[in-house]
Amino acid sequence: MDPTQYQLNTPQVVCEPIECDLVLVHFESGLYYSVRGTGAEICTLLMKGMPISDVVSRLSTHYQKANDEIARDVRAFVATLVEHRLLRPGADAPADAPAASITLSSTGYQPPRFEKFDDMADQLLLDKIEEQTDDSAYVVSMPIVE
Amino acid sequence: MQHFFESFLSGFARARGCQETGNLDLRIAGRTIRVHLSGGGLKHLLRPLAHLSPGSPDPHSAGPDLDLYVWDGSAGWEVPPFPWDARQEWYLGEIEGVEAGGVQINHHPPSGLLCMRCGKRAVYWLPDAEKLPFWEIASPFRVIFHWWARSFDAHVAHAAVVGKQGAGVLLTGRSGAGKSTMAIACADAGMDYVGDDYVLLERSPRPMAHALYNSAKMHADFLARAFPHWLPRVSGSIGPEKKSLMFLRECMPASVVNCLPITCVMLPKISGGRTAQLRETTPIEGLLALAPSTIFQLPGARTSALPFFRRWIGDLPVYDLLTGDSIASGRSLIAEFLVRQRANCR
Repeated sequence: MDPTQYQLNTPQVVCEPIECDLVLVHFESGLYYSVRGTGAEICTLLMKGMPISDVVSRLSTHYQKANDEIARDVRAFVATLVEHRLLRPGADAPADAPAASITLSSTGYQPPRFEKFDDMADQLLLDKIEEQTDDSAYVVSMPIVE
Repeated sequence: MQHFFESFLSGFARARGCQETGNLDLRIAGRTIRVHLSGGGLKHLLRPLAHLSPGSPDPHSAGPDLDLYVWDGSAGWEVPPFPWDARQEWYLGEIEGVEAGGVQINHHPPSGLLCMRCGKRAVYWLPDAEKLPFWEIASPFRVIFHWWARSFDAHVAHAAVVGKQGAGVLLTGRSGAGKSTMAIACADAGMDYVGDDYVLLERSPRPMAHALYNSAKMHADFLARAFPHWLPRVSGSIGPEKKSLMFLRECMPASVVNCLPITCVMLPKISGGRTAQLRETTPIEGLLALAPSTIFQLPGARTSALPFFRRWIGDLPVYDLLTGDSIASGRSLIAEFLVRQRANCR
């Protein structure tokens, strides 16, 4: 059976809302993401514990779009987020504002999407300690001037 | 865990009994960290911090906000067994499940570098000073500074800060974007230099950046091309990329300032065009530029960085600094911006 609820894939992932958007950082992969517009709304509603079917209904009503179209976009988007290990099935809604109180955007509907950034992924290679065989990382060629 | 921490303090006391020792007070964000150093192997770690020292410890002061004990295994002290196993060791030295007893711990297995903090005391120890990770040479004690800063709602940030006429801009962005280059260019022009790699940010009463290190690093070939007159200032080279290392307190002391209020965030971007330009952008771009690079390079910042930087950026304007093909053009643009800001505030 398909999961009905999704939560942030903690502790590997941290998330922060900023204005109406989200920034997510995946600590293990070294990737980070911006999620804006409809995508941010979907993530926020899910992380507040709203079942995915309710997310679909909510967006469909707000944006006056056919439920089938919204459902297709939302499920595909969520599947991608799960594939990137940003969300995982489950319910772990925080105790703060209930999902129903979240205000959706007043701009028109755009299919949900995110941007992925991989420029920091190499930083984590420095921490792959079990693969470190070259001591050059620790070489210092420096006359210590007192 | 408390017992493990206390055993290291006993180890320091033992080392101090048979080695050259010294104390140095550092003033950061109006607070004092007293560094207790035993042995000569790690003495060079004080060089990037020398600009923070007000002189000898004040015997009449109320006492430091943090006592930091620094030594290595040369004293021959027998290290107690670590109360965790390798399976608990995670990325960036974090150790899962060892936060009992209020002791913060970070361990880097290849070098054996162990950092711990409990309240107002901290420990920085490694078995062999010769095996110090290269990133500690220019930016030592970073994880300890981070833990300490969190205790008063401040945060270490991977960013550069420069300024003029008492105000500063925070330069942040991905590696290679030009933060360090622009910071060094500004210092070269006589502007204020707070840091080129890591600074300490405070939010209240207004966004502030405090100096941590007076070190600056740059790729040697780029330094030779862009700032050839800086070559005599190079103290050495560090890391696998053999970056040139300089200490601005030693070569440009008039440029080094210990704190500045921040007027905006600038994201250097290498661009075409002859002259530099500022282009206003959104707060999320500022957060994307500042938080991930801090998270991935600062042990312990995983859960604190995003919410802190989001609040710190707050209502600060965020600009793309399109640097064009001239470092001087970008530097001049920063200086002009700061002068205009000051004029607008009068």
